[in-house]
Amino acid sequence: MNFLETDLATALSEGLNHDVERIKAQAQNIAWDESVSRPRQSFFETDHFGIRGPAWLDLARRQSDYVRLFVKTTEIPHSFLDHLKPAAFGEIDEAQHIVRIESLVRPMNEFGCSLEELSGAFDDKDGAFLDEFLLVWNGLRDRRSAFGTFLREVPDEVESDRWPLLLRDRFGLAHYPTTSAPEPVALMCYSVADVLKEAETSFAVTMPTVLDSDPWEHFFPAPKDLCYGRAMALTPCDGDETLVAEFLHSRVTYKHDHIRRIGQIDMPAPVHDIAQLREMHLLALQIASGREDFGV
Amino acid sequence: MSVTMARPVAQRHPWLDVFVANPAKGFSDLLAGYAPVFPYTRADAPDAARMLFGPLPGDDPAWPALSIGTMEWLNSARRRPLPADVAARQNLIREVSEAFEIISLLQVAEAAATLRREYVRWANWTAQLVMESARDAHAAYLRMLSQTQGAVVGVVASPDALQPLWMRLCREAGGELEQRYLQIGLLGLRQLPGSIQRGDTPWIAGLAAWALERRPPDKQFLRFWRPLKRLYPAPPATLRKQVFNVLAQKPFKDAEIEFPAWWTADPDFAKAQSKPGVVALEPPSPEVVMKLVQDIRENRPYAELQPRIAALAGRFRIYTQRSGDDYNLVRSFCNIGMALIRNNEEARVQRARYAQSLAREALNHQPNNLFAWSLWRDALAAEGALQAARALGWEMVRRFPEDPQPRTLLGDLLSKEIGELEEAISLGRETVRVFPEDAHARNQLAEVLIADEREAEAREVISAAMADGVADVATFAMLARLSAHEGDFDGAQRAVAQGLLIDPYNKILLNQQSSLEHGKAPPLVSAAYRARKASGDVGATDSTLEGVLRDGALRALRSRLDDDENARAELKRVLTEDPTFAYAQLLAARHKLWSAESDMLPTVAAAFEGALADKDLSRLAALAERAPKLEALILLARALFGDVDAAREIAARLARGDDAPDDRGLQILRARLRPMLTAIDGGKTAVDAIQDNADRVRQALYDANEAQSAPELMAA
Repeated sequence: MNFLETDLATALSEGLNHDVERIKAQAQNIAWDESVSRPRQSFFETDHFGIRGPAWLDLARRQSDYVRLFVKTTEIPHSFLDHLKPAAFGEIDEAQHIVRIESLVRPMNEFGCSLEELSGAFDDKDGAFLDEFLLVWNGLRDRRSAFGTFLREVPDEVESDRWPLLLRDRFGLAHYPTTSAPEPVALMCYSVADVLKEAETSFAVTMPTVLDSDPWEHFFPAPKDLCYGRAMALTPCDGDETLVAEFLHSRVTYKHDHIRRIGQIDMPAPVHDIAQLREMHLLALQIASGREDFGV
Repeated sequence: MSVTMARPVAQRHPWLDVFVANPAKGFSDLLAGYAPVFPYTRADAPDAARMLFGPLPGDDPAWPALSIGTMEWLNSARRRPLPADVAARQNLIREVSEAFEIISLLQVAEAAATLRREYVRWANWTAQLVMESARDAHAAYLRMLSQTQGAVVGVVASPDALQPLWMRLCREAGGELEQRYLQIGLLGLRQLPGSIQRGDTPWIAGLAAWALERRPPDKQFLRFWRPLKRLYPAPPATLRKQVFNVLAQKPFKDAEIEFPAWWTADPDFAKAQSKPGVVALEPPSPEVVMKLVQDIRENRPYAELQPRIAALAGRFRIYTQRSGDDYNLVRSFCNIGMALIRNNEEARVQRARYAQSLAREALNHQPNNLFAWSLWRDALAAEGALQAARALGWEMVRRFPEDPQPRTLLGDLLSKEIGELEEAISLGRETVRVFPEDAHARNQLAEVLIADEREAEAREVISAAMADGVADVATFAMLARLSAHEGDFDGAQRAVAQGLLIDPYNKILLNQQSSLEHGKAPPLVSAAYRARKASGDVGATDSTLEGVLRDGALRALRSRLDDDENARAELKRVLTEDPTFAYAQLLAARHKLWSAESDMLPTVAAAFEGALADKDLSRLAALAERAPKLEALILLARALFGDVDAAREIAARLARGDDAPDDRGLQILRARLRPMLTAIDGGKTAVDAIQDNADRVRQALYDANEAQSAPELMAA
């Protein structure tokens, strides 16, 4: 994404040349993203929201403001708006299953139950309890775009007893380091059809872009022609075959049969040098897409 | 490649030092996503906060900084206007909700206690911050209060004080409140520290109270009951006893609800007998209350009475928590409170303060209980806080616009106790205008005019009362005094004779008759108005009272806003001092002294006043979508501007009387517009009747809007 607005271009340039690797990574995500449509980029550059200045910090804050105003929102997120022409994937098999990890801490707190109580209800298939829990949780969820992947991408991880750790690491969920306490999580699983049933635009499943989340060095844009994004794992990428496809989809109202498993992320996240993680991931993307020019 | 597989211990995040140095900015950055808190930058603020602060030891300086930062940020957000732009508004609501969630998740006791003590302020502000369930700062605030009840034990005076709030949420969920508030009400009851300690199950009372109001089908009832049953497992016999104890109480008996009622759908109750073989839970007996009231009246020393009152109050509280029935508590607290302030000079201030606390607790349970409001006002006056009593009296006028009694009682306070005759006269004239059929209001106005040596005006009031056919014995007694004072003994005797036709045994008239027969004029000013007390005052003691008094003072000012430039200047000054003061905005919008900035969303009450003042039908129509509670008022306002369909519809609704019991707007309009409805019954078209009574209709709209927008109270 190359900005036309001078201030934003200057700010991006500062980020790309920054000494701090994390900041440079966040700037690279903007510069290398090919999936933000022209209308969306134009809105981001010209609309009168938030901060707009020539410093990297201004640009980073503008990105955060944008996400809070137009992505993590109760309106239809920009990620799916027809007139913003999001990058989509054409026909998708509606029977395919999508998986994602959700933290349970906040919904459990708001509902007023412990993990033990929730797990017990899940194990006993207590639909009444789970429905009520989900009613509260669904009520608290806005319409923000959700990252997900196809079940077929991670079948072994999903079946493993260590699924919370394996999926945290494969999906690159670095914000669940669990260095202090275990993180109760649910593995949510539902079909593409479930997503489409609630879709309000023509684009319910889209390519993740840099504008869909806060500045985040663990995000990595994928070449547009690769079809789907590729999650950057928390461990160095061994090769393009280990890349996990990821995408965004619009809101699904959770039902109790969408909860596939309940568990805890109870081990700290692996910590690797971010520059090296990104270097390996970039290489894998270049190989997978056959685009040696990508990210250069 | 350097690889570290795990961090063995949680390290204190370096950003916390930045936060401690400037907590308000740090908290703001965290909510906005600006804080450099890798690896939590992608997480929502509550998740980031619990991972940053959660592992810290209790003595870490970040804890007090978190409390300070949260409160400073919330206070600053509260002073900002509500954005008109939807994206910005939902973002503000998200930030506010997340601030409350952080307090809840991290159990920030000091901030939680402050937000609880200042309930009136925060509840009424967050009530404006509701867009939908995922952007509902009011629900987030209430959830935070429910989840921190345990954390504030030892910080607030009465940890269980929010019980009436939770019961109210249960009762109003699905009616005035969205259905989702039932879960919050039940959550609050589940977290009551006293109940947890005693092993009580107050959520059963909450669920039953909701069911009583909403009469849910079995399936809907079980949806809420089953999860509770799972969370609090108990043998069926215990459950049946707990449910029986609730359903055996007065509200259910009055509604002819029989055990097991809605629980029939639960297999553990399906075959239950109509009584589970236990004696129903009962409140403290009326005899015990009566004995205590009698001892108070017999002037027993306060030091002896106080522990007995406290013990009895405690028993009422426990009974109310277990049964959900607040009828006995409210009635007894009011009776005991009234006895305390009526009978003794010994420990007068302590008695008065205790009576205030009883009144306020009663109001927590029943916010529209006029008796409890009167006790609060009288107990303030008994303490010597006369200006506070005066402001509270005005607040009662605002909250009960369909009832002349708060006005006449305030008139008594102003004229007999404080000596504010001018204000009493102004109030009296307004009362006579609003309630022309109320003889007492006219007599009171005439009495105050006499006390202020304005006999000619008093005579005009009396003449008008007679002409309108609303004179009573007291009117004739007053006329007799006036006539005699002017030397017209014949006229005085005629007035006495007319009065005796109404009540031949009236002692006052008989005394007057005797005096006149002996050629002696009765005193012009009645005894009650001669014994004026000197004014004095003590300040407001907490933020709830402070808020009520602030509103009450404005209600007093309202009477002068039509034609007094000083009053308008005062209103502008108040708004300059606090531009977000909702009641001041409302009054100023009515008088076109204030309008919302283009990027600001005004409160619905102020928006209604603005549209009414501008006679703007399209704004009224748009407001109806945003504020369903104002629907009846908006219909009537449209009718006032000539909308025939709206006139027909509102007249039909006012005549039907089948509205929801919690539709205050309609109740007030119906009470205030009764003569107009009679005219419609008599054959006049609705639109003509409304046009003919335009002033009355307009005043009723003002009063109903003010009453509906009065802040919710809770002494927490």
